[in-house]
Amino acid sequence: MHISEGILPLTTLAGGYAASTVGVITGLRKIRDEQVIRTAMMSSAFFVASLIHIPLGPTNIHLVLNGFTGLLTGWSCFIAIGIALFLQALLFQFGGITTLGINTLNMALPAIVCFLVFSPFLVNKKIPVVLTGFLSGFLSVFLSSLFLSLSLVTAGNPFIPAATLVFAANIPLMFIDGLITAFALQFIDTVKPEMLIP
Amino acid sequence: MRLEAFSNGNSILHKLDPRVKILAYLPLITLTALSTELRQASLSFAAGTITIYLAKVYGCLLVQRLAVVNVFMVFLWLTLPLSIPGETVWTAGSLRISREGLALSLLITIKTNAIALYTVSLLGTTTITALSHALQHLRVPGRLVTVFYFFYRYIGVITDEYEKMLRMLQARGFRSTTSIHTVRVYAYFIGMLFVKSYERSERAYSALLMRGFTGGFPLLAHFTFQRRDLVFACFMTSLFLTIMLL
Repeated sequence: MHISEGILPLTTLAGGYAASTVGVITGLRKIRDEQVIRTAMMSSAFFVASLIHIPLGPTNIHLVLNGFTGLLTGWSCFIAIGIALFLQALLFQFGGITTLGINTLNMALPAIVCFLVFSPFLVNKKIPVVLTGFLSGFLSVFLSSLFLSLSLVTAGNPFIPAATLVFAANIPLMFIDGLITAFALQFIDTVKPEMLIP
Repeated sequence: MRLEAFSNGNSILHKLDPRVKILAYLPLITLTALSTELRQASLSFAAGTITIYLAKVYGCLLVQRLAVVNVFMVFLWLTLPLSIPGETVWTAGSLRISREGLALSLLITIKTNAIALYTVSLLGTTTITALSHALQHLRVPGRLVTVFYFFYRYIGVITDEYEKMLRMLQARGFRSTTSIHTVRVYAYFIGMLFVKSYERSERAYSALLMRGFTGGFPLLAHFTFQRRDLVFACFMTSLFLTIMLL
């Protein structure tokens, strides 16, 4: 889920970089020494997990898992997601360097939102973990797709059909990501619950 | 997984100072991304092919990478010619294909490909270690570079873990289909991947702490700015100015 180079206007690109820089700096301020390696490795796992393709009828889709990553990395998720996108742009030419700021914002802001909204429920268990997981997986992909489409529209009205098409194409992913996050969180809650405490 | 596919080589671009390459790269891609004229974008694309030629990284891998880039362009070619009003070049029922729409799609495609060529030839010819080192020299916060370095370092390790777990699934007769069972298996798989990464990070941190880790790496090796770097910097500056002033 990235926007490639050469489409967006300067204001969107610069705005994306400005907002993501704030996110990254906040992350750098909040992480303690012992979390440096953890953030890095959560980011590696996020990068590797995006290789998994889930079959869906005749085709298959690859997971985003930004909500899941947000719940596990907390405030440092701008760093975790930003560096993964940087490497993808650098090595595989997915997304881009000029669009790195806006792409990071589109994926990491929903992750922060999920962290802030759902993380307390993972500790106090007022809603079942499975439901928290589904909602954060669903919401994070929903928001990311929405932000992605809105960023495309900043390039001009002719991009509205493309933006709508991209959003519609991501609807199945919202449900799959929701289900995967639900079961994966349930698994972590059983196996290693201390990972869920921010 | 082959990550640094283009970084091995002995072309002139492989030998240059990474700092110079980064500083030449950023203005060029910004200019290209923001250009609105087909002539300017085409010139930038031509300059991109020159840098690819200098880096000697042409081959079927490059074609593969460009193919990936152009998959995203299909979305634009399918929608833009229909949604931009203008001189109609072709009509099919109620659909009108406009010349302006085609021109914009072409412009974006050329720009994206030009930037991809720069990325492969300038940044792709640098190893990630050298690149993170150069970023630290260019005043990117040290802690961020440290996270990036460890992130890159452990991708290989976690990919091995991932492949091992996949073999384990296959050995137990797992076949992925469209079913809730498949989703559940993959979810537990991902959960396990994160749990293993988490535990490994704790062990790695303890090991580093024991060796006196304080959250960052001191800069030991330093790059030297040589004459070939100066020549390259002048060449890229003139290229940049030509594209900008055209």
